[in-house]
Amino acid sequence: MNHIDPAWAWSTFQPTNRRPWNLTQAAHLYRRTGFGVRRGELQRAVAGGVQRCVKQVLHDNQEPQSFHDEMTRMTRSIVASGNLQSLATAWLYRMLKTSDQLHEKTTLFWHGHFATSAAKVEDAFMMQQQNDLLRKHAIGDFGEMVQEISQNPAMLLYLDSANNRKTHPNENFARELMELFCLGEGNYTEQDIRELARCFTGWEVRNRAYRFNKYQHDFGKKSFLGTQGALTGQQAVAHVISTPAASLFIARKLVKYYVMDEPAAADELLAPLAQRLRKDQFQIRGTLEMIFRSNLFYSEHAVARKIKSPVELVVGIMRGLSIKTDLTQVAQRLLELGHGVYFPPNVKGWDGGRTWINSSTLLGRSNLMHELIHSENTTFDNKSLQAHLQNNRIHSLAQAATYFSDLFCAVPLADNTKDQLIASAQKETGHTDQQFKSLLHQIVSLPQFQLG
Amino acid sequence: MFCARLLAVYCLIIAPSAISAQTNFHNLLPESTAAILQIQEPGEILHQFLTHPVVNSVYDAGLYDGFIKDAQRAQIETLQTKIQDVTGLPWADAVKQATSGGVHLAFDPASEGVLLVLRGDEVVLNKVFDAVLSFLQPLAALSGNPLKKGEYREGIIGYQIQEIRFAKKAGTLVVTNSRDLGRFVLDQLIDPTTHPTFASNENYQAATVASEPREHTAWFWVDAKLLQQHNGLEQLEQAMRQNMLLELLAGGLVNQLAKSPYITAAIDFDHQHLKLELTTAHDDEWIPESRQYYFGPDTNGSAPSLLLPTNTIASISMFRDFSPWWLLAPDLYDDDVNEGIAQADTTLSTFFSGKDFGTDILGALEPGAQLVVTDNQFGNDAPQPDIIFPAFAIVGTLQNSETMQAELRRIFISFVGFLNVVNAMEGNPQLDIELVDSKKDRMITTAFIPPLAGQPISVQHNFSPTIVFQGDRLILSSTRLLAEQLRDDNHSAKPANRSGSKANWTTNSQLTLLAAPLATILQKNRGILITNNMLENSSDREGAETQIDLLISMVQLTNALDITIRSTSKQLALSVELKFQPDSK
Repeated sequence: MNHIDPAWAWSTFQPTNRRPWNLTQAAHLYRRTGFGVRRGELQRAVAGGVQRCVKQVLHDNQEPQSFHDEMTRMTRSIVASGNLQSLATAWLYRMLKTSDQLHEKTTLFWHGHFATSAAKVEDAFMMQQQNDLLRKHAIGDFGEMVQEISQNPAMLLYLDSANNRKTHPNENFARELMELFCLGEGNYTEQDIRELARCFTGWEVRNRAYRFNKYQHDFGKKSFLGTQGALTGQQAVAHVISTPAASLFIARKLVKYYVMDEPAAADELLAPLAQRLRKDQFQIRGTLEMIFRSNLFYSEHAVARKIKSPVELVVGIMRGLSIKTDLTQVAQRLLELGHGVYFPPNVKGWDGGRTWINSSTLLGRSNLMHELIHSENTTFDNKSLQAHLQNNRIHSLAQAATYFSDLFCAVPLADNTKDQLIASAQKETGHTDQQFKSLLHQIVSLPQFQLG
Repeated sequence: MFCARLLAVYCLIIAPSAISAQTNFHNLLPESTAAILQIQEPGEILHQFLTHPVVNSVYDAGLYDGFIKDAQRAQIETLQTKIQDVTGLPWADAVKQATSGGVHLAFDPASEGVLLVLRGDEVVLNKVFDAVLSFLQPLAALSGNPLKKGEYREGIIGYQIQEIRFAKKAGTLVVTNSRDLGRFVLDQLIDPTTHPTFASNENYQAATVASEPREHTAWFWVDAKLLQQHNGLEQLEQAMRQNMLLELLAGGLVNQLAKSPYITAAIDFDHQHLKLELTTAHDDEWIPESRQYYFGPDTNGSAPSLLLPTNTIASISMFRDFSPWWLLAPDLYDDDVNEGIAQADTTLSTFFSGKDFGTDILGALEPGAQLVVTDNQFGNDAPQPDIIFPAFAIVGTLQNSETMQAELRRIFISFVGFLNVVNAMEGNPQLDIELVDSKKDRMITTAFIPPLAGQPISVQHNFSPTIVFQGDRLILSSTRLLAEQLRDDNHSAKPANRSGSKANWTTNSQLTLLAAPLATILQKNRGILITNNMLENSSDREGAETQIDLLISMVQLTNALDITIRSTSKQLALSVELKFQPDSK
């Protein structure tokens, strides 16, 4: 890949004739900072300008207290039932309905980062507790988040760290803290792991809560990552975050999640972002703002350079077309496609990118979309698809093709592609609504639709 | 074609003058008639339906829209207006008068004919007939099948639209799809013959012994050969071979249905109740060994009385001999089910200290069981979970209580211990055990240890498994409170069998489902029901609340659902009765 000038990359994007602020760019922003929007919102975004749109996404879309209370009530009911799969469904509901899309998208990011699977924890109370923790700090203080997640009962159970004795320190958590959560591979040694593990001795989970067992803690002197002393677990975590590798590691992950799947961003490119993180003392919001205002974000390096995850695929189309359907079925299908929230496949979470696409998952994605579009439980803003489109002044298949392309395709569909799709949809016998559904299903099965 | 269906439906509202008293409906039908339906007063049914509180509630809730499409509703309303214009009466009154002599439907397999016969007030019905005809004629013409008209005999005018033929004679309207059947009926009207007609059908006559057609809102009879020849019951038999519970509940009933020469169905409907009673012939010669568990060796097995403790939601009692049922499973079920039973048998035998489950454990119980489900109550100090499960209990009678009590006591305590080990491994609460002895009974009860302050109260706190030995009586309950109530209520149950009816009926099975406690427990779980509704429909809270509250209010419009299977030496009857709230709306 060509070298990207960091100075250019992180400069504020100013629309030009060559790279205007238009429906495509607005849709790109909303897809990356959330899960998608309706056509009307896209048009308003274009009219308002990019800077205003970014400000709104970052600062002005907070959830109303009433919605927050509603979700609390919902999850409390589900925790009482102990049904883990319903927790996943409730989170999909939240992604669909929340006004604060960026917050929810970022919570999903941290869920993959601090991967903890309900399949092992098997406790709805603890899993929801962790999810609430991630949401609380999602666009806030990364350092505080790491401190709290390190003592989170679900996390400790998942990493087999519910017991950690001074005579036999559990190195698993220490390794994951450095490798997966804060520093990445190559930025620590085996000795660092052993020493760090001693800091966490005495950390236990009892009755679903973190407990410090002083009798099992190693109060001796430890030496790792360039520091030494009788560090406690909390002090150790703070030190790990303070190392230079931490900011670069987090910056790299943020760029992979929000900007581009590949190629891997060079350290030189990431340096200004990492510097911003350190300057903000690991407050995430400022770094995200830097990303979303940047030239890089709106350039050919970023637009259509990510593959939608199954969650983005489904929630995106549901939000775009105001789809209501049986979310319990959707959650189950996402689990079968390998992107069941609350059920990451392993400690590394989801790799994303090209791993979402292979011969089997591509068919699975198409089948999921077909089921969603054609299910008798599915409505489009409480109407048929045709009626919903008519409400948006879409009356023909040609208009619908353009409409769907604007809403969902990172790369607008070429005219000859649209013509072929329309011709195929017209062969559908029966009600006109079936033709619109056929067209929609064809579009969501295209490679262009898989790009986020 | 909708037109033909509309015609078939709306012939109900057309009726000419009453026929001769001598020519009753059965004399009009050929001997080969295999099914008949009689509705004595259709107008009264219509009146009951239109003024019914439940129907009005459905209408007020906007659920009516889902039943009938817009286009059909428009046509119905047009027809209603025509009838009102022509008769000068409200359309429901016109229909009532037009069908005051009754509506009868019949099926004759020999001619493959379906017959509809209507009778009522001549003047009103002639007008209604004209109104309907004027409504249908343009529709028929538009569909490319214009109305045809012609004279048959004795001045009878016949009409035809597509395959549907209808004619009037002396106050009788005849509608049929079969020319031969229509001619037979008209000929009987013109000139009643001495040829055998349906009136001499012995099976039909036998059926009316148990169930007099005139006593019911609607009454249906079918020659069971019709179902048997078309494998009507085969699917049901197949379903029972694959479903243990279905066989247990309905196996004997379906067995007799398959052998009976006839089946009748009587329907009663008014503001108080909607009842369906299915009756067949009954003969112990028809019962194979594998199904004797259902009726008992002399087919006289009687269900114990229903348990009705406070806050009963549902109560079931049935006569079943569980030991032969379990042991004869290879004869009753298919291979998949039998494989499951074999595995369960091994596990249960191990659980019961090596005793054979079918012979030693189930064989230690008297035939007959009672199951009751109630709203769950919690003591003042007991932790109450957010989700309330109903409490339930099974009551049986031990044949050898001295020996079995000791065995079951030991097994119960072991089971509690096992549960505690599993719960400890999974971080779940533990069960505490308490033994309560009195002169008359012994109770072993358990309770989950309350959670620490700040910890959620798990759904397991709905349960406090309890076993009670009360002489020969065994009570196995999910909660202590229910067990105590059943123990203390031992002598207050009413007998299962009826007396004083015209035949000596024995109650084989009965179920009652009570609406008020059901509505109460639904209300207690309103939160989780709303949550589930929101997730299943992606709806907001308001929409979900409307749906759940509507469900609860629909339940509250009813009073109870009673299902009974009873028999005499000659007949078997299944009745399903839905009782409505008195004086609602």
